[in-house]
This record gives sequence, C-alpha cells and structure tokens, in this order.
Amino acid sequence: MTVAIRGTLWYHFATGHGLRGQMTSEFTLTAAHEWIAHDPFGRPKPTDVSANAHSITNDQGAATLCAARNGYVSFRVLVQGAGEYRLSASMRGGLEVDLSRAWYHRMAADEGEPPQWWPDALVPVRGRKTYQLPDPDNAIDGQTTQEFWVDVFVPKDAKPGVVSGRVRLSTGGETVSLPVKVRVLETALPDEPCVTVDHNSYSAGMDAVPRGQLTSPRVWRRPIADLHNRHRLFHEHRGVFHNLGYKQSGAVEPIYGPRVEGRGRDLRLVDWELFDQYHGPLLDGSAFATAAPGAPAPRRAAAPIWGAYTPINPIWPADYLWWGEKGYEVEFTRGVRQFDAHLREKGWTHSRMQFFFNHKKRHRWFEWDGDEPKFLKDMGYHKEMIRMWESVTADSPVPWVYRMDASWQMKNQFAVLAGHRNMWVCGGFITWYPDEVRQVMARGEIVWWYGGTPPIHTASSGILSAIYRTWARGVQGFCAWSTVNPGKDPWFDCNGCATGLLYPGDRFGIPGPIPSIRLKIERNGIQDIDLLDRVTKEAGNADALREDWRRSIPIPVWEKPSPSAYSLPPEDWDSPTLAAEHEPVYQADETLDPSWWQHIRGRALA
Amino acid sequence: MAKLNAKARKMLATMKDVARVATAMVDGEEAQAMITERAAHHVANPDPKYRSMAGDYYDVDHATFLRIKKTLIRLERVAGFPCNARLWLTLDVLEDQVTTACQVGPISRWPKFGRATIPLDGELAECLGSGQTVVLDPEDDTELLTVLAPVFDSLGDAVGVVELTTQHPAAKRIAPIWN
Repeated sequence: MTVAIRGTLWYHFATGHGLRGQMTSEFTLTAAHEWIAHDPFGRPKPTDVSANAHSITNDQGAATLCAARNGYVSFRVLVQGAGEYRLSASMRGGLEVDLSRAWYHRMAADEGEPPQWWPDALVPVRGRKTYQLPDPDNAIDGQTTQEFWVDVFVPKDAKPGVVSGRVRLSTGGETVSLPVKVRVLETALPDEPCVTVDHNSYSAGMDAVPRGQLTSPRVWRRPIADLHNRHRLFHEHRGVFHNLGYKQSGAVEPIYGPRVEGRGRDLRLVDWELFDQYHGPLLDGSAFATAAPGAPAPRRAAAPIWGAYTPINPIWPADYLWWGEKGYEVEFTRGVRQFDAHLREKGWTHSRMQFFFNHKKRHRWFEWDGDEPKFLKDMGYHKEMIRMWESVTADSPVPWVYRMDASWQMKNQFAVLAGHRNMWVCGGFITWYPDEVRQVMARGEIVWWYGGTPPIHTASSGILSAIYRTWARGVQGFCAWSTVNPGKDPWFDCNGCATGLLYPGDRFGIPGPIPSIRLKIERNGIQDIDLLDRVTKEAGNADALREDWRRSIPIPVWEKPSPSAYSLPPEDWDSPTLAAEHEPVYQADETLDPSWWQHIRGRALA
Repeated sequence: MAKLNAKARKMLATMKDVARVATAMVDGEEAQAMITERAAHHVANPDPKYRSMAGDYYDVDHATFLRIKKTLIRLERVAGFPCNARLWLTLDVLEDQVTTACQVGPISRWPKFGRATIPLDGELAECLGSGQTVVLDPEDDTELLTVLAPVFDSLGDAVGVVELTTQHPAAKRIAPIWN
C-alpha cells in the first residue's frame, strides 16, 4: 500500500517495513536500509523482506544513522519519478559522502519468463551529471525507480554527536531534499580489521598476447593497472585481494615471476622488470597511496599487502623432468633462494609470501593434488616440497608461509604437516573440526576458510554470514574463492555474479573496476565485527562471549561430522555419501531472517 | 587464416618425426593401467547432479604417470621448438570417447578444460582406426599445427593417441599459456 501524505511518501509493506521520502510533483526521494534492495519499479527484493521492521527514517522524514569514527555508514536512496534530474549529497562536521548510482542487472531468465532486475554494480556520481528516469542506458521498460548508494565516511578526528546532511535532487528548477542525520560515536574503528576477508582470483585475464610481445611492458601496462586497482578497491573496503599467476599446467605469466635461465647448477632468475612493476607497489604499499579510477581518495593508510601468491609450482623454477632426482632439488633450491634474495634486496619483507600448489590431478598435468588433496598418499609430495623450501628460507626475514588449501584430508593434514610455517585455507569441512583448528592455531599457524559469494538475487545480508562464521570460529580469515569475474554479460544477461564483487568500469567511462553493493555491505559487516570483537575482548572473557553469540545467532558455526565421515576414509567420501556439499558454492540459509545481522550491529554500535 | 609456408612445412615434418618416436616410446597398456578402476568408472559415468565427483575420484599410479609425463616432456623437447604433447586414451569403460591421460604444455587442438572426455571422432578416430600418424589440416582458423601419433598396447591394438600441437609460425597472437 502506498499513501501520499502532505508531500511525504510512505511505504508500508505487509512485513512492516517503513520507508519515508520527500516528494515533489514529479520526483520522490526515499531512504532505504542498506540490506533492502528495490527493483526498478520500487518493489523490494523478496529475499530482503524481513519479518522485523528496520526503517532508517525518523518521524521528520530524515534518514537517521549511527557510525563509529574511522568508518563508514551507508544507506540507499530511491529516486522515483520521470524525467531529468541531478542528485548530490553532503554532510557537515567533516563527514565525507560518496554517492553512487546502482546498475540494475537484468537477471538471466527462462524463455517466456519476465526478467528480474536487481541492483549491484555501483557507478560513482561525478560532478553535476544529469540522469534520466527511465535510464536509457539501463534500458528497462517502464522504469520508475532508480536506486543510489550513499556512503558516509566518518574521519577518525570527527567530533562525536549528531551531524546533519542532505541528499538533494534538482529537476527543472525545483529541489527535493532528504535530510540525513548521523550520530557519530566516540568509538573509532581500528585501522586493521580483526578478521582478514580475502577476495581470490586467477591470472591477469589476458586472452592472448601479440606474437613477440610476451614480455613487453606496454602489453602488460593495463593488466597490471587493473590488478592494482582491484587491490585498491578491496583494500579500501577493509578486505584483501589475492591473484594467482599460474594455472593448472604450471606455466607462469611473466608479471608473476622472472624468467628462468639455464639449468641445474647454472639456473638463474633473470628479467625482474615486469614482476617488480606488478609486485613492487603492492609489497611496499605505495599502490594504496592513490585511489582506483572513479573512487574517492584513499581513507585507509597505505601499507604493504597482507600477502601474495608466489609463482613457485611443480615446474617453476625447477624442471619437472628431474622430479625425484638430485637435479630437481638443485634447481628448486637455487631458484627459491634467488627469489627470496630478490625480495630481501628490495625490502619487501612485510607481506606473507605464499608457497602454494594450485594444481589438481584431475586435470592430468600432475599425478598428485597440490590443491585440496583427496588422497593421503599425495602428502609425500608436499612434505618433500616443504623440506626443500625450508632448506633455503628458514632464516629469511621474508614471512614465508606454506599455504595449504585443504578439504577432504584436512584433519589428517593438520597432523602430517605439523611443525611447519603453515597457512591453512580450509574448505567447508572445517565446521567438523573445532578442536583440531584450535590446536593448529595454538601452534602459531594461520587458519582461514574458504567459500563462495552470494549471488545478487539472494538476500543482501547473505554476504555477512561468512564474516560472522570467521569471527565466531575464532579463525583469522575467510577467502572468497573467485571474486573478479562477474560473467560474460553481467549487465543484461546476469548469472548472479557469484564469482564477481567488482565490475569493469569501461561501460561507464571508468578505466578500471567499480565496486558492488555486496562489497559495500561486506565492508560494513567487517566494521561491525571489528567493534564487536573489541567489545568482547574488553569484557575480558572473549571465548565465553563468543560462545554466547554462537547460541544467539542462528547460523551453525561448528557441526557434527556426517556419520559417513566416521566410518569411511576421506578417499571414499563424496557428496552423496556425506550428504554434504563440499564445493565452495554459496548456499543461502532460507530460515535466516534478512535482518539477522541487526543483532550484531546493534551490539557493535551500542 | 595461417598459410602453410615453408617454415610451417618444416615444423610439420619435424613433428612427424617426433610422432614416430612417440609411437615407439609410449606404452598404451601401461597408460591405461595407471588410471585406477574407480577413477575410470567415474570418468565414464559422470554424475549429473555432482559434476565434480568424477574429478574428485580421479587418481593414478604415481610412478607410471611420472614415467609417461617425463616421456612426453622429452618428446616436446625433441621438436626443438615450442610444441606441446598430450596423451589421449581409450578406456574399456568408455564408449566412443577418449580421455586425456597425461599432458605437459597447455596448447591443444581440443582444449576442453575441466571436461573428462571428448568424443572419439574426426582425426583422433582416424589415427586410432588406421594406426598411422595423422597430420591435421593446418589451414584452418585455429592457427595450430598438429600431428597425431598412435599408441599401442601389448596386443598391437591402437589404444591411444599422442597429440603434438604447436602454433603456426605466422600466428599473430601467442595462445594463452596459462590454461
């Protein structure tokens, strides 16, 4: 039901949500909660409709928000009407506002089915740009609503108290205003998040290279810039980014590793130019002194990246022809020693350099699984690789780690690989092993887990569950396995973009990636967890409080293993016998109310 | 479309020589036996509901695979120019299909990343059926040069094919090396 009262538009959904906006004869501005998306006709996304009202407007029609210093608070603005308009936003008290227009993705539909359109990609509003409703670029018949995303950044030195601001729409000489009030808290977010939320990806995305130009800096300029910009966007959103530079065959793209020259005792790593161009600004942190194209100036301090994959794999730097023979060890140790020496010489000793195997035997390049070993017999290869690697990096100031992405054999691997500088990235079976995970962490090893990203059409708050699980388990990080590939046509034939949280900005004249609403919601969730973590630690009984949270949030954190997991060895496990999915695909919990995170936010901002 | 110039003809001639060596060196029966029975079953019978299960169960005998892999590496190097080797194999449990059993470089005429099998037809079927080296028409639009070498078991039956593929010397772009 929609009722217009004295120029103020009220929305009431059957669920009890309340939204209020300001209206002229032609346009209406309405504030909406960050977790409630609306389609181009003003209807809320069904998966976002909550049994609990979470209006963000007060009785005077102002959007009312609360924020810690050194962090963001966000909301959506719905522009409804027809014709040309401009939109701007401002805040007093030194608070900064970033306004972005949401793109409505036409979701793939079966033939004959009407298409659905949901917002996700965010195009920065720059200058005094004029928009139209319906938006000719988005090309939606009968569009009546355009969603904008508003980020308000509260600097560390902002004065606590209520700060006012406004979103303004101007059209044909008229102005419509939406008042905004932000209550700035005394508390400030820590500079570094308490959990590491990683966004993974593979290769620089080059389809082919002109003959003779494989190592040409000109050819690699744009891919390197794109990678740096992805790092920048994820960094500004309190996350990190990983990009693997070799694939199943072991072949290494030239920006990820120097050229290997000579063999055996004469092996040398040469031509570091492209490697340095890509890695240098990330490993010394200078890449983060500037913003990605179209993004606001950096608000987080520039710092070296958390960590990076290295190109080391079964065929780099050593020749696999000699595997199992002394020549392999000579080449491997010479190459890794020179790689380590280069990092030390450059002073790149702050980021965790990851010795990691990504290959799977199913692709037939190798006889053993580097990634997610299913067969315990393959662990002999890992142990041999670790032995050689440690022989040349044990005393290095470079914080090397042996990264193991573990699933089937996780429990056995925890034991078999004990005593090394391990970084575990665990699949969904981690939920079965709370005691083992605690023991591994007590040994000083890093534990992350990995999973998928919610597609656009699922609940907007769904992306928060991974952050909660990470914190509630007490592990250090979460890796979303694929995050920069939104599909062939994310604009008009969208598959949900479960493998993309960034979009190419070229369509909008931006020579770099642009963020998504899901990324914004994720960032805000990380902020909440940072505040919650501080509260529990300050209370002095963090473990007990964490347990309380596990009881009050209806998301399983630890679970009993499937009965088959007790009776069968991991070599005999599969999804049917376990009655559990092990693939890193996001699975929405349909019993979860879309506003479930409010419980956490309420405590975080209390 | 790349033309078959003198350089390409010379490369093909070299690859045919390498193919003869491949036929002599690769033991098809040993290759078939290196794949575990359960792995072969899942390759032949992928579960439509659990698409990754065939891959999850894929397993080989380490020593045999390594021996074949090293043989393919050496074959690549015999050519003297970048040339990738891949062993396609028939299995008793597969009907009218072949599976990749082992590969070295990333370039292939049939790059089916993530797929366990491809149909046994065209030049692959011709090579297996005739037991002869087959040279693929280089004047198509793939900009690839390919020679197929039959691989035999102890009964003299052709049970597999070593694919040798390289880029045409006139190819304008370098194929992605990072498959």
